[in-house]
Amino acid sequence: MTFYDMRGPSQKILPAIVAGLALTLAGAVSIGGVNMFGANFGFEFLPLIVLVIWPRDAHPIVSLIFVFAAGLFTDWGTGGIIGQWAMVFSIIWGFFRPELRSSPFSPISMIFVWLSVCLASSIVISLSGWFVFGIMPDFMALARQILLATLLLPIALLLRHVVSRRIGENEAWRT
Amino acid sequence: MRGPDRSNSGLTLIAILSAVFVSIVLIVFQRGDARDPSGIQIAAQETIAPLAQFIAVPIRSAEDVSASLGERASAVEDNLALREEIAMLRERQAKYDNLAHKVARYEAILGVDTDTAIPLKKIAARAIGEKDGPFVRSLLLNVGKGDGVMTGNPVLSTQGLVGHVINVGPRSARVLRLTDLNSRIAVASARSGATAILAGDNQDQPMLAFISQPENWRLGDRVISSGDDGSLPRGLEVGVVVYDEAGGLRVDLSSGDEALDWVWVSPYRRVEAPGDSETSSEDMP
Repeated sequence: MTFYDMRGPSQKILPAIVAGLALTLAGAVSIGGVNMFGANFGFEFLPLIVLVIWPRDAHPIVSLIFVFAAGLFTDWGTGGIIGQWAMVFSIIWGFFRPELRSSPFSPISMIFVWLSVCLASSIVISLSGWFVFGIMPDFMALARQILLATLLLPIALLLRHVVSRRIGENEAWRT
Repeated sequence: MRGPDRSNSGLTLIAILSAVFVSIVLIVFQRGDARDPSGIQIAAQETIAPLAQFIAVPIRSAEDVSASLGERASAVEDNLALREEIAMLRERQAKYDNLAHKVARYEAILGVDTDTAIPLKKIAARAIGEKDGPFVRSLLLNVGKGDGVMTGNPVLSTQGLVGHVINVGPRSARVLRLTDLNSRIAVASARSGATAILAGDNQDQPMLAFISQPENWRLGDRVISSGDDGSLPRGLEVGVVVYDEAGGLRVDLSSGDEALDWVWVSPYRRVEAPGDSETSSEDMP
């Protein structure tokens, strides 16, 4: 049976704030990388995991404000193109619109969602970078970043589960 | 099961489109511009630096384990190679001492000024954020103005030049690596003295552009900073000349394939054009 959520906007702000802070933290982490097997694996795709597991109960406008601000913060912090990550975050969040989904992602659909997020982000990053610098990106660097973020995705899902349980066993907090 | 919340759907859609539009406007305004750091950017960098330093600790540990495993596997071969290298270097050291003595005598006779102006003082810094992204190749260091770092200072690893400082906060600095698209430094062949500009193009081996005397560049030439533009001192180790697939000259960087953890910032003061000293002295600590 389906019923419409009757809770007030103020109760939806907390999930938006928690998710927004997690996104900002992931943006800060994304400036780093790990050197292994002779290559640098960057964390730039890490914030996208937070977008994919965004709580469905979060207030949409507050969420979007956090998403856009975290994108700008990531751009400033990483010394990249200002507006690039803000645009990627806004597009990805806007495409999935967590508040419009009635049920969490199944494990299979989560894989497809993640792959489509990686593909869409790569396209937006490539086009915006090409527009500013006039060259195509280092696709190997992009691939390494996607690989690292994909390896971290199950850990993020586990963390997400633990956080949502601690805050309250709320179905709407799930992805 | 809870149903979707469509109460503010239209408003949210407008907000999303506005966010995307503002992002596009910001991107459009940067087209073709050099990346000049804004105050907000430096503030964001300063905020991130302590966090990145904290996060880097387990990452460095993981890197050390990975590197240690690789080194252990080749320890015996490395040991033999190092013994041979030591024997060869002892012989070269003797030759070098003789030549240095001879050159010093000639310089004294001729009265030439051979000062490379490379400062003896070096500021040790930890690379707390290494960005090897699709468009940007930079490092974030845990030192800043308070430690004597200035914009333009060269940054070196144990192997050679890594890049130069492009913006400095009170406790952090961002380094543009030689491979970054926006990196341009004046270099010279240590063998022939022919000069060129080392231009990063986001590839591991940056290219040589604006080459003077192309006939004086050869495969294997040692490349050093020429100091011609006054922004870097002469004589910093950069790398070795190689050919790319199209036959163009590129430089295999000395600092190219090593993981950068500790680096040194050389507090070199760039040569200022007359009249610029007053304005640029504001950046000095």
